[in-house]
Amino acid sequence: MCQEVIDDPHSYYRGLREAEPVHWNERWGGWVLTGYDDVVTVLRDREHFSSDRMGFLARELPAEKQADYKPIFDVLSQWMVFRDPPDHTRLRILLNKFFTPKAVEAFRPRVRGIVNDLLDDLAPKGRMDVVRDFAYLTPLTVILELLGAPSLDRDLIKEWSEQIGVFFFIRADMPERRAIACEGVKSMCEYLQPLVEERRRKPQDDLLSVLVQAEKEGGLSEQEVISTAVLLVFGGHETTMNLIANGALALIQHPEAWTQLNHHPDLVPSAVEELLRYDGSVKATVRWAREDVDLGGTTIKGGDRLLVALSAANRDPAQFANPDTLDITRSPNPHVAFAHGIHVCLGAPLARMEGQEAFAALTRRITNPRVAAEELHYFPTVVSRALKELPVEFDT
Amino acid sequence: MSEAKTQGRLALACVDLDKCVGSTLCVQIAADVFRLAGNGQSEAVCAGSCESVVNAAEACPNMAITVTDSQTGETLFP
Repeated sequence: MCQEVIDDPHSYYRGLREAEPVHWNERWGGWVLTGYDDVVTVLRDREHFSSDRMGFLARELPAEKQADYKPIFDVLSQWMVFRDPPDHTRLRILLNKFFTPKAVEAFRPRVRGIVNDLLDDLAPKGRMDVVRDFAYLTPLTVILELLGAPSLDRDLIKEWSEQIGVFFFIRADMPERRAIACEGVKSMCEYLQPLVEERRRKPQDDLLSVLVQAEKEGGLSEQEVISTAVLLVFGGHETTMNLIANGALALIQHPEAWTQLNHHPDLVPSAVEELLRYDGSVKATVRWAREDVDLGGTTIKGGDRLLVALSAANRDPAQFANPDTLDITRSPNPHVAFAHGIHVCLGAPLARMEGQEAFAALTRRITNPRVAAEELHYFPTVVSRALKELPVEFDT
Repeated sequence: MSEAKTQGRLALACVDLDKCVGSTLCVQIAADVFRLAGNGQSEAVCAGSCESVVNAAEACPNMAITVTDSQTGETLFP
């Protein structure tokens, strides 16, 4: 994967979609889907397509290699993201009620407070790195408070999350990504374990206690408790961070949209949907064919893997008029930034709400933002659309 | 709307297909009311108890389900 494709995946995907929307990529060793209808079909068809990434990885790796990667097999194989029904259903139903649109609404005033506290510090300075100073801290603070672990070390969490992300997001430049992820997983488990123990002794009104309570009632295994805690910390901030950073960049590049949101904050909800569509934080997700299946006239063999390109589907002209234009009033906007089907993002309502608060506050409090870098670069991953940094200057 | 007031009442659900993302959560929560259509989206096939239909509607990540009281027509969710 060359730097050009990393920095501008949309042009690459456009080319693929126009030439061959179900495309075999020899280098990656799998199919790349770039058309909206195919993407939605595969995401909703759990009978033919599996999410059991660790299971398929286990089949590819000899047993001794698997032993080397024990932490990721032990922990990530329990993540609901990588599981099929019925385990997926059990985990999802348990946690879903804390992440419904109605449930996350109760947390909105707190998110508004977090965002504005950060901007109180940043606004007078006239410059910030949007990634490090704002987009990262907002969702991480939120998820740690929901878990009941507000005092955890933000720098350590960032380091370990990046290590896990090397595997989860498929960092193309790091062949040793499994070993790196093992370090991150192990460290984060060890760091969270004492908090879990504490909740076992003395439950609180927080998500860690919900996990422990479910364990007590037989709904979760011990391994699932710690694995899910790691998933919530990781999943709770990495992708939302990128939603806020990518969205901020798109708005900076469209100053008329920035001004429009400042004057019409009622447009913020539809703007968030459009920013998710235009340059969302997850470029693609992976599925495995359970058996031979026909997709748009192409036969996918059982065991083949498929890269389901969400950001390509989100720019498909067959689904969206003027797909490469940012239109913050676009409606309807049936984007697939959070995927579709049973694995549709658990945290989508929370991410939406955090995005709404972040963009409302940014456009209200920051005037005339400019990108303060010659070039911007993204981490070279297959899955996530993640800026390395976003230095910005603005009026004070 | 208090629970006591809707107890024993039936509710009707309507799935907005522009919004349904096929999470199947409503089918898991109220299997008597919702089922999956061939395209992976949900559809409401009959009325159900207010409590279970509202629970299913609340679980939807995309707010695709509207619930009304089958007798009064009053909106119960959202």
